[in-house]
Amino acid sequence: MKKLSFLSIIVFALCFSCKEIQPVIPPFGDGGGSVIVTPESRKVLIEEFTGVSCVNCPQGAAQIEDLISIHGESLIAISIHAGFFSSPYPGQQDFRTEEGSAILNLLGGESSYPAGVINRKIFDGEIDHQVGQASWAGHIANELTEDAKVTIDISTNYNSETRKLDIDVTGGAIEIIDGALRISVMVVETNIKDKQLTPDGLIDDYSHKHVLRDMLTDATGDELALEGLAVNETYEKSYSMVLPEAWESGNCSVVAFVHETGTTTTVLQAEEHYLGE
Amino acid sequence: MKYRHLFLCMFFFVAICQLNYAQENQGGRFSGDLVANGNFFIRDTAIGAANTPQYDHQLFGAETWLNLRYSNWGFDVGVRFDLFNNSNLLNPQGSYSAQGIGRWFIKKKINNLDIAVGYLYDQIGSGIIFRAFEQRPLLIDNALYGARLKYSFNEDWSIKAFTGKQKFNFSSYSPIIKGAAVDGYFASDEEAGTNWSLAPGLGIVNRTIDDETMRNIVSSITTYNIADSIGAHYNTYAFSAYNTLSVGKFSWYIEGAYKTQEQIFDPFAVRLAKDTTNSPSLGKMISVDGNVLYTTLSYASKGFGVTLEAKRTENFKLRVDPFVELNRGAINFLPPMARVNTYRLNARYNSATQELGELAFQADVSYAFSKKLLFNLNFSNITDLNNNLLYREIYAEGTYKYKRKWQLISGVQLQNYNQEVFEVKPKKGIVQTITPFAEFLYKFTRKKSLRMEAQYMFTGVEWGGTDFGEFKSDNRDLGDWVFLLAEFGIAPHWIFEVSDMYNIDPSTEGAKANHYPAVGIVYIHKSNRFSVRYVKQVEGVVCTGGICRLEPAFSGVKMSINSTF
Repeated sequence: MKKLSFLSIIVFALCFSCKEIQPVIPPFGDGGGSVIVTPESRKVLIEEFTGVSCVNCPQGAAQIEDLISIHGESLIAISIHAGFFSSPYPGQQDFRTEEGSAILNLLGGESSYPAGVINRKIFDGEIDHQVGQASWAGHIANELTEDAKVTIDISTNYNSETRKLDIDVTGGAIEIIDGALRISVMVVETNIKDKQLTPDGLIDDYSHKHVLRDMLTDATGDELALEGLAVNETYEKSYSMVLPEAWESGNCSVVAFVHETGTTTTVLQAEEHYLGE
Repeated sequence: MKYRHLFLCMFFFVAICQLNYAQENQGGRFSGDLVANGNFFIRDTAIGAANTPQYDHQLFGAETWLNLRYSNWGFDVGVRFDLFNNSNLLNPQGSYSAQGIGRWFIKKKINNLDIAVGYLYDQIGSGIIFRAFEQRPLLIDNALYGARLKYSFNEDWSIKAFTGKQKFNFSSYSPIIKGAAVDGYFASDEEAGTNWSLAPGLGIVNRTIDDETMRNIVSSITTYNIADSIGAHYNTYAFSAYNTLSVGKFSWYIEGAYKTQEQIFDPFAVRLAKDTTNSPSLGKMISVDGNVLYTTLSYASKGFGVTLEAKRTENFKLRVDPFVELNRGAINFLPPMARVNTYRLNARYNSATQELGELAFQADVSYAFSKKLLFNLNFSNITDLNNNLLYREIYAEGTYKYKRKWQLISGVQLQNYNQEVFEVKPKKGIVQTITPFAEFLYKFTRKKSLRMEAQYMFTGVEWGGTDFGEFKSDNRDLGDWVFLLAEFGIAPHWIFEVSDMYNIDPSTEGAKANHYPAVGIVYIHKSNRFSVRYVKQVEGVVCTGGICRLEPAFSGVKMSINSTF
């Protein structure tokens, strides 16, 4: 018993005598506007899987807006309506796309919503690409510290009468990149007013942000470089489509991103270009 | 990796050599078990069994666990091979494939010192501050990958300490977990005519977050509005004191636990937008300490038993880091406070333990009027800390046995289930059910028997008062159900089963009333058990901790093999 009492005192004394030095929380940033964004600046892509009947998804969308207000142009968001929660309500437009469903299957299948995929990476401690809302901010901040490996420049020409949209995507490698590369090009529309289930019930005029409307490439992307890119090696891709009448062209943007393929699908760089620019 | 393979080769070589030697000389013991599951997925869009990789193109999924264990010269060594092929256990909507060594361990006792290294299962007290365990149906395996030392001062007193990382599939989480516990035992002198015993214990657990995880935590906090900002702690300490007092036919267990302040993710905490022109959202990290008080009192005499339980939980979410979700990364285990029901409809609604706030009571009474007639009554009541009802159940069951010829079990279950909280379904409120049930077992001969079950779940039936706090009580969920089962057994080898769960009165007008049948055969031969079942199972949306997850319907054939050797 004496041994026991002595040991107990030692153990508990050690516990209470240890005091840690807590991490410093840096001063709060004022958003991406204070950071000068250049073509060589790293941008992060977050693909959020969502649905109109997903009651928790509005809070995920709100967090994405918050993160955009912090990181500005450095963060590019796409909301992909796919899976069980995405079936439209009667009388509602259908935000689902074939490509969106294919991307969901590519990135782990349907799990828990809201779920986000950041730069199509599987982070340490995660079972697949999709990560919960709680960890978005940390992963995005860490990804932004990485250097960009490739540049992307998007130019568009939109005819409001014919609604024909021409897209040119150009860029080049900043450093040598090994392995096959693909490029995905999407058309995204934001501020679409329509139904959404929220914790307060079904809202008829919810503002849906960054909705994936269509892809100009395959769901898995188009081939960009079979054997990687040499330093300063350039690429050029062109696409065209006619915007459906239901889309508000002023709220549309083109998102393009270059990504790996095969065992890793990491996005190396992303870019967004609004049609109004 | 190569050293692991080398170790395994050596292990098997030594084991096989020694097996032959031991069989001749009886110096060692080799044992093991196998669990293998195979699922064929048959697409059925009528019940929603579709649109997952398994239903679309994989068609087959499997899981296998093979345990091998060898004991000799005071050593106890074990290894387990895990295999997942297109499995839907980890993610019911996805596909998981991986294989490898899921567990290994080496244990050795040297005088009073027990040494164990590898993947270890253990707990402190009832598990409130630490429990490393495995639960395969949910693919929970949070073994501690590390080392444990246990020193026994004598037969009654021991101290143990451990350190390691929590297992995560075939790797481990980065944060370090360490702890210690002292357990003792006092007993009265029976010769003096007294009959009591005390089994006290003290435990402590510490989790230290790694640098990478802390960078993510800091990055997240940096994005918060200054009003929501919190500090961050690398270390969290949880303390527990527990005791079991046994006096005559009474037994009283009590455990109190305290957790120091740390950052935990609260999915329901209101978070102000960084840009105040945006609306607030839900979900942020908060910095709080936590506590749990848990106690059970039981009395057992011939033919009569009473158990009373109570638990109060406040902010006791103890995980490897604040980012893990659902049932992943839990360092501890909070005991559930409602009865574990086995009949299909009685088990349809379950109360999920609320880590952030819960006040629960449970009482269970069993009485045997005679050897033929038994009675059991169970009551549980669970609220949040604001006295809003989460779950309430009254369960009454009677058993009558007629010689060794037949047996009848019958009873009724009344439930109030807060679907709005447990499944995060806004405005849904409380589901009220009344479920009468019966089970009849008839033995034709010593070897042949027939067992039948019948349950009917009435939903939207008011009972038991209106004190539901802020929640309404007219939710019927999917409506009324009936369940019937017939099981014919030919001992010792065969069991044949057929059942159906039928949505006899859907809550939505005009909705199709679906059947969910099952047909199965079980064959048992010595220590081998083979089963094959054709199953259709209803789907459900489960939302916990602010995360919604679809548990899909299942349609297909399930096969399993259980073998011990």
